[in-house]
This record gives sequence, C-alpha cells and structure tokens, in this order.
Amino acid sequence: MSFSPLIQQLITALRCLPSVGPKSAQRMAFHLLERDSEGALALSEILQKAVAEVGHCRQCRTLSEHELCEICKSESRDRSILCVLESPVDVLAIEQTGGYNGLYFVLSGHLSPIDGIGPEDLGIDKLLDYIHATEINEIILATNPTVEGEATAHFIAAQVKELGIKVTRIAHGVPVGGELEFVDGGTLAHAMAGRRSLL
Amino acid sequence: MSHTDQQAAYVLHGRPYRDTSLIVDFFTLEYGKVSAVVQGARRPKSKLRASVQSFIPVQIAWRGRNELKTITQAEPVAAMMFLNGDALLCGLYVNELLSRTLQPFDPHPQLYVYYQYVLNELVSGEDIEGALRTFEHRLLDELGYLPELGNQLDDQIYLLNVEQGFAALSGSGVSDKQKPFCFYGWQLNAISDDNYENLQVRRASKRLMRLLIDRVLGHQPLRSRELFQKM
Ligand SMILES: [Zn+2]
Repeated sequence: MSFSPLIQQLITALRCLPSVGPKSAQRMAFHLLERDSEGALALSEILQKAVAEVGHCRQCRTLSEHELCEICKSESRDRSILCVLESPVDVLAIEQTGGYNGLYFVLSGHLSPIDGIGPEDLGIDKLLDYIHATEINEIILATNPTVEGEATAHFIAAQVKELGIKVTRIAHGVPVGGELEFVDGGTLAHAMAGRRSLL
Repeated sequence: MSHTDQQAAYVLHGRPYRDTSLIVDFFTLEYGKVSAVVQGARRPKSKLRASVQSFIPVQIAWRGRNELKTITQAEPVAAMMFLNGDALLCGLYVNELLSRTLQPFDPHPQLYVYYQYVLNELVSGEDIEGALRTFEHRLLDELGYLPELGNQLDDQIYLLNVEQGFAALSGSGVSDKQKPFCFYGWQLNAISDDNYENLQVRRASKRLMRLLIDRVLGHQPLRSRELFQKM
C-alpha cells in the first residue's frame, strides 16, 4: 500500500536517523501522527531551534549553542591540560568518567588519506593555533585506537614536538579497532589514567 | 563465481556503509583487490572488528555475484602488530598506493609477497626507506609501468621520458629542465637490483619512483604524501 505524500515524506525524513529502517520509520511516523501529536510538535520545534542555534564552540569545536561552551567557560577546569578527540560524542564519554578536569579540543574525525581527508579538513591547523595561543603544558591525544586514529595522534605529536609540551596518548584498556563512544566508562577511565607519553 | 574458500588477505581501507557496516577493500593473495561489505562490523561488540584493521593478515571468505561482495567469514591469522609513528604513516602510504593502482579482481600474488615484506620492514623499522623503494619498484613492474632499468653504462647519463623510458643523453651538458629526469647508469643499475645502500641511489630512486607513480596516478596526488611533507 502507499501512503499519502505528506506521510510518505515524513517516513522518508525519519530515515535520516541512524539505525532507522523503513519499518521503524513507519512506526515512528504513525506514532507521532496518531498517538502523540503534542510530542511531535514539541519535537519539530526543538529540532528546528537546535539545528538553527547549535554550532561549534569557537575554542574547543564541540557542539554548543554558545560561542564558548560550558566547559571552556568554566573557572574550575584545569587550563594547562588539553584532551584531543575525534568527535563531540567523545567529550561526553570522557566527561561521564568524571576523572578528567582539563579542557578539550574536538577534531572533525581522523586523517584518512585514501578518502582524501587531510590535516586541514580535521581542523588540526586550528588546534595548533590554539596550542600556540595558550599556556597548555600537556596534551592528551585521545583519538580512537584505530589505524587512522593512531596516525592522527602521531601527526599531531610531530607537529607540537618543538614546543616542549608533554604529549600523551591513551592506550591502556581500549580495545583495538574500538571507538571511544562505545567503550564502557570503567575502561575509559583506566585508559585515561594509563596514558603513555608520545614525546 | 559466487562463493570462495578462505582467502589470505589484508585490509587496504574501510569506509562506513549503512549504520553498522563497512565496505572494505581487501588486497587478497589470489584475487587481487576485492571490495566487500562486512556486515555489522561497526557494532560495538562485533567480533569482526579485529578483522577489518589494516596491516594484519586475515583469512576471509565472501559470496555474491556482483563486483561488490559480501564477507561471510573473516578472522585475523596473526596477532595485532600495530605500526607506530612514521612507520604507520608509511603503511597508510603503501595502502593508498595499492588502492589507487590495483584494479578489482586483477591478481598480483608476487606483489602480495612484497606487500608482506614491506609491512615486516615497517614493523622492524630497520630499513624503511629501502623497503618502500623496493615495494614501489615491484609495484610498477607488476603493473607494467616500469621502463627497462638495468644493464646501463655506469657513467652514462640517461634521460627519462615517463612514456617511453630511458634514452642515453648525448652532447653537451644537462639543461635545468632536463635535470629532474636525469639519472646515472650506475644509479639505475643499483635500483634495478634494489640495492639502496648508497645515499645517492636512494635519492635517485625516490625521485624516479615518484615520477613514475605520478604518471600512473595522473593529476590526483597521493594524500598520504602530503602528510610527510607537513612533518
Ligand atoms: Zn568549548
């Protein structure tokens, strides 16, 4: 059977969500239209607002609706230590361990020469500007423990070699080929504690 | 052919496909480059994760009638040997080079052996540069892009034309324009034997391989090379 154009459009639109196939999209659409129109309106409103207003923190590049995110703004964070990550989700993962009190810098992914993704595409130039402009004395490279994540960490380490900054890499306990966002909190806390020096 | 037995392979590259899967380019011993979907490989607890990492030998089986196969089995056959530092970037370079130059289902078993050789050298770190030059040399040879190198007169200067090969340079001197394409016979003889002990041979070989590889790749330069230039 086919749905009216508007319903079909809604179903198609819902499929942009991860893990949502045609069946789930149908279920969601009918749920929203039939059972929870109030929730649906609230969703559409906040979705529009969030997409329009959430951008990237100008300092750490994580998602934030303010020019400077809460973490960068906070007086209680240790400004001498910087943790470099592949994506905003990873900030959340490390924040949830509760064991880290420094600042972050979020790259847009990792180096992948075959896909044509180089240092500028990730914002490594901005990271270097940031490091030069502040008084950081330790950088934790917490890119994913994949081949590309390692390559990214190594590349950054080589770029800051001359600055006399301590550079460490998380290693311990994170499964090889894993992605940070899927690692459980305990393992991740361990990994942060067991970071090793790259330089 | 829609089904295979277990095949020896390495992962050249993986890219996300749908929510939880990957499309992986494998370099296989018997079939050359094979692209296949590895279903669920991006699931947090997937057992396939370890089999879709570059630089470890894996055994894979696939099915499917189209060029894009579906992996039915994949497991690592050796412990993880993580490449570190510059060796890792060299590994990415070798993978990019293979990805760009190999055609699907065009087998190169000899090159596969040289690939294993270069990876071993990258791990041991003893003579990475020599290993890279050897690999580039063998790759170009296998793919049919290598001009005749050996049996040159040691003291003769040869001019490279990337399409036509080497020609002995006669007459007076070398112009600035010709310089990047000029090689001594003794350098070419050494390169032909993969003998890279001499520093001048190393430099000449790097220059020669680059000229030849650039010709194969056309206008799109290797991205991994840019990484080295920035380091
Ligand atoms: Zn921030």
